[in-house]
Amino acid sequence: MQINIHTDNDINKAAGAAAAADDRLRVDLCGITLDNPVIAASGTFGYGYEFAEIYDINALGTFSFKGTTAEPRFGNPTPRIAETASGMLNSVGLQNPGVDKVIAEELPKLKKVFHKPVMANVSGFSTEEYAHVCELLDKEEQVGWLEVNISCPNVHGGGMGFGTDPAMAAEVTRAVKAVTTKPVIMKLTPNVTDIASIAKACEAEGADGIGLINTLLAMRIDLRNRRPLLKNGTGGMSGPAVFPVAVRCVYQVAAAVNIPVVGLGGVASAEDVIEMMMAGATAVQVGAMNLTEPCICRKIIEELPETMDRLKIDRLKDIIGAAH
Amino acid sequence: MKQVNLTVKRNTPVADNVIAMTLEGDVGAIRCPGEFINIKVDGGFLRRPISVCDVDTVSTGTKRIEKEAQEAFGVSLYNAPEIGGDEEREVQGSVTILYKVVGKGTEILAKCQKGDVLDVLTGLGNGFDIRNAGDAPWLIGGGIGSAPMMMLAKQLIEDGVRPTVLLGFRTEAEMFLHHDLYEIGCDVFVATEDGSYGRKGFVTDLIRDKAESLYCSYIYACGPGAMLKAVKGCIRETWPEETPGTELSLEERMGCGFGACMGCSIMTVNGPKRVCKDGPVFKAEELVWE
Ligand SMILES: Cc1cc2nc3c(=O)[nH]c(=O)nc-3n(C[C@H](O)[C@H](O)[C@H](O)COP(=O)(O)OP(=O)(O)OC[C@H]3O[C@@H](n4cnc5c(N)ncnc54)[C@H](O)[C@@H]3O)c2cc1C
Ligand SMILES: Cc1cc2nc3c(=O)[nH]c(=O)nc-3n(C[C@H](O)[C@H](O)[C@H](O)COP(=O)(O)O)c2cc1C
Ligand code: FES
Repeated sequence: MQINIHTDNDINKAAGAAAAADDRLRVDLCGITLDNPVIAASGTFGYGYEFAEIYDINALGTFSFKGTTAEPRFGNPTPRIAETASGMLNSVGLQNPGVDKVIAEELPKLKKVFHKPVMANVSGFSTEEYAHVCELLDKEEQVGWLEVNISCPNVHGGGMGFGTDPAMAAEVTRAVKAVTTKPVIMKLTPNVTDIASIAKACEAEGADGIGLINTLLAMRIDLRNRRPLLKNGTGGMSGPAVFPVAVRCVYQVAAAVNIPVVGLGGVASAEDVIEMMMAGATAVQVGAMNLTEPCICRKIIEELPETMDRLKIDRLKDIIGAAH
Repeated sequence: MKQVNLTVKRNTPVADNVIAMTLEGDVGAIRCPGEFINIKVDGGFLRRPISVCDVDTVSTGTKRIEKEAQEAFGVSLYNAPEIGGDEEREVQGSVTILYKVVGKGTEILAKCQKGDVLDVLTGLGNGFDIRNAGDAPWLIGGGIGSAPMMMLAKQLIEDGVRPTVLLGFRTEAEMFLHHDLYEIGCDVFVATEDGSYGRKGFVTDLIRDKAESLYCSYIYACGPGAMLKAVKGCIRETWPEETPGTELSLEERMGCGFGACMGCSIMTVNGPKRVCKDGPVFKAEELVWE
């Protein structure tokens, strides 16, 4: 057995170094401090428990839980997963137990394994649904941010996506902001011509942040039976294949708004996190990679300091938007 | 669940288009038959889920102790989710899988050489519950779905029961595992669709045949979806009065294989369930399909 004797001076030095190390990674996202900018993305992290089985998920900046709707949803018929080079397609279709059950069952369970403010991902098929779900989640102490996914079709708007029209995106933002006190991050779809105009519309209605990108609309065809592989026909593509598209979107939006941007889409390494931040992201989410490399977020966080050393980055917050 | 690096010890064909691969390393997270492992293949993004056919160190003795504890105290540790449990349990040994080459990922697996190292998630899924077996369980396998029956049969035999195994294949050249199951002490019956071996027909024909002479206490089945549906129907018709309890192992396309993405969900009488985490083994009465 080895006995280590520390002098007070050593301990102070160590504590100082640890604090400095912490400060290197720390960022502020809409008024809440993140120990590091790495956030596990909605729909790829469940409610965290599966990952808590293999690592301490408190290492994360935070995570965004599965998209929550007013009523329970089963989602689309299976198969609802397909593969592509460096990525995947999903047509899960927002399976979730509904907001009441999330609050009554999932959040109390989550409290046992995760001790930081969590990001609540909200979906809806009408403006009223978004507002209702946000109003309920707003009362939950564990919830830090409301991340409003506007990639869903508007059932009252002929099925057109809320996130594809600045006016509809503005309407949802306004409705949500009216019923909440927590920071609201509007999560945008990349399936539009001018993503900056959507972001600006959200900002004008008081959005506290913009998150992007959600998945890209895609399709695969089964060569043997000559039908789309996904039962739903189309699905959302994500994973490393979409990274450059995401970087471009983050760059464009960061140039257009004055609120924090959360960047995601294909992030797979500490370098990717830094690239996203240079494009303008304050925090960075990791999605599909969690599914194939369950410890990827921890690995990225561990590799950040070394990568920063190599790139001569002192503190991550100094490089936000550096590429502009 | 545990992520481990396993070394290929064997990767040899055992029938037409069916390859047996034995992987060595820490297999401590593999607990019960019917579980699967999720293998990273070069060039693929998603891992490939493959059932555990056999494990050489899992102590079936533990299972028996747990069964006795369950009976004595009404508590079970078996199948209980443990947070952080798998990380700590390191058991060196080997796991054998049987796979059919059907696409890109399994083609790459087939090219693996002895000594290659694979990145594998182990200890996935909720497997067969051997506590339900009774004294005359039937194990039913269709094609590649016969693979998990090896570990199941071994554990049942350790528990002192002699399983009856009914296997269905397309043709004699695609048969595997029937000898191995016979050698460890199972009563094995085979049906082939073309009649090249055993009874001509489907595994459901075997069920009807054997039900006339053999007692069945419980049924475990694994195979393609269409076969499982037929088996479920056939069991109800064959034993309309006292239908034996049945566990079916399902397959679904998976994103993660450990419960995070909801890619593999099915609807059951108890609401949506994930094939990868709540299954792949389900009680027949839980499934909504007829
Ligand atoms: C719980 C479980 C246990 C399984 N056990 C076995 C086994 O013991 N032996 C065996 O040979 N096969 C088994 N399979 C099926 C096996 O996973 C697929 O055959 C394999 O993934 C095909 O990969 P590929 O790249 O060769 O085919 P491709 O068609 O190129 O695969 C493309 C994608 O589709 C997925 N996919 C294709 N077919 C299936 C399928 N039938 N089920 C699920 N996903 C599929 C792949 O994983 C991959 O993501 C199991 C599947 C599940 C879900
Ligand atoms: C299986 C799956 C489910 C998802 N579910 C949601 C969801 O419920 N809400 C949401 O806002 N985004 C959802 N997403 C999108 C991701 O959060 C993320 O925006 C997208 O996948 C791009 O990041 P990535 O390339 O790192 O995966 C889902 C993605 C996947 C792969
Ligand atoms: S495959 Fe991801 S939840 Fe089952």
